[in-house]
Amino acid sequence: MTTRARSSRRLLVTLAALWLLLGTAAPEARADALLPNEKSIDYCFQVSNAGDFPDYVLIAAFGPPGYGYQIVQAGDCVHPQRSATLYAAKKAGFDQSQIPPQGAAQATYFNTSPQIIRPGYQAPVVRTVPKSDRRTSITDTLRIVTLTDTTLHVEQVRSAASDPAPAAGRAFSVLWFVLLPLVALLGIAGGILLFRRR
Amino acid sequence: MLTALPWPAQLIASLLVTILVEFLVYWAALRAAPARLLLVAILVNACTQPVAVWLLLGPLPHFWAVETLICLIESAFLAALLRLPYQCALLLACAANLATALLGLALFG
Repeated sequence: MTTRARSSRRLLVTLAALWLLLGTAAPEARADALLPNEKSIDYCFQVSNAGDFPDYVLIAAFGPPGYGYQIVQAGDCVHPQRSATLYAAKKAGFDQSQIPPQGAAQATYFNTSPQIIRPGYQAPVVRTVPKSDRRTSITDTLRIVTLTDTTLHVEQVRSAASDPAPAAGRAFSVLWFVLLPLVALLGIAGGILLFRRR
Repeated sequence: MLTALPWPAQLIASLLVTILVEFLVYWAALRAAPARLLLVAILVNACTQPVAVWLLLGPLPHFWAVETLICLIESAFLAALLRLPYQCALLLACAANLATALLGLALFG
């Protein structure tokens, strides 16, 4: 083996070692945190017609079960940390002081109390979005479809998390992620053919 | 730093920076005709960089895995375009991508 080949191999091994070292220390290795291409985002949801049901109380129970709750008034935007389940209760006979402040007792209350109309509606909480997403906050709008003494039916009116990209953005994405690499690939193929002919 | 720019501007800026840095690495290593090296840097990075970003944002969100894959692809392109022995092309691709990867981490976090 020549000196040049030896030093080339040594350099390659050094680079490979550096690559492995950096790969091990890279942010994505810390799986408990955000993924490297994600950012946390401020999320809240509001109930557009909460004021249309004056005989009922709306309650957002935060998850994991027992992590607190919020009485949802018309116009409120509820900010859950992780997850939230929207329940309702008939105002007559509802006593907020009976709700345990937190913990397993609170979870049991929402699962068993006769005052609570079940099952609740699991809010579509968004905690992270890709870094490429230009939004800094998401506000979802929910609407009560049916609310009786035994039934709560809620629907998502507008999912800000799935808003389609603007047409200009889509066109740019196609241009950038599809056409540009294809044109460059054709250029590379042309270059290789040209060099072979010479 | 670049994350303050709008998304398309970030993509264009990152590609331009990548082309510039990789061209400088090629030129420092080979000292060959700069125009040809620049053309190679443009073609190779215009082909691989958008694919790398797409992979990172979608199916393969692991920075160093994507960088390794891109390095292997670029080394094949470099070997063919610059008529280099494959080991030498791999070395060049690794060095160039290491430089841009570190710069990318510094600029985009």
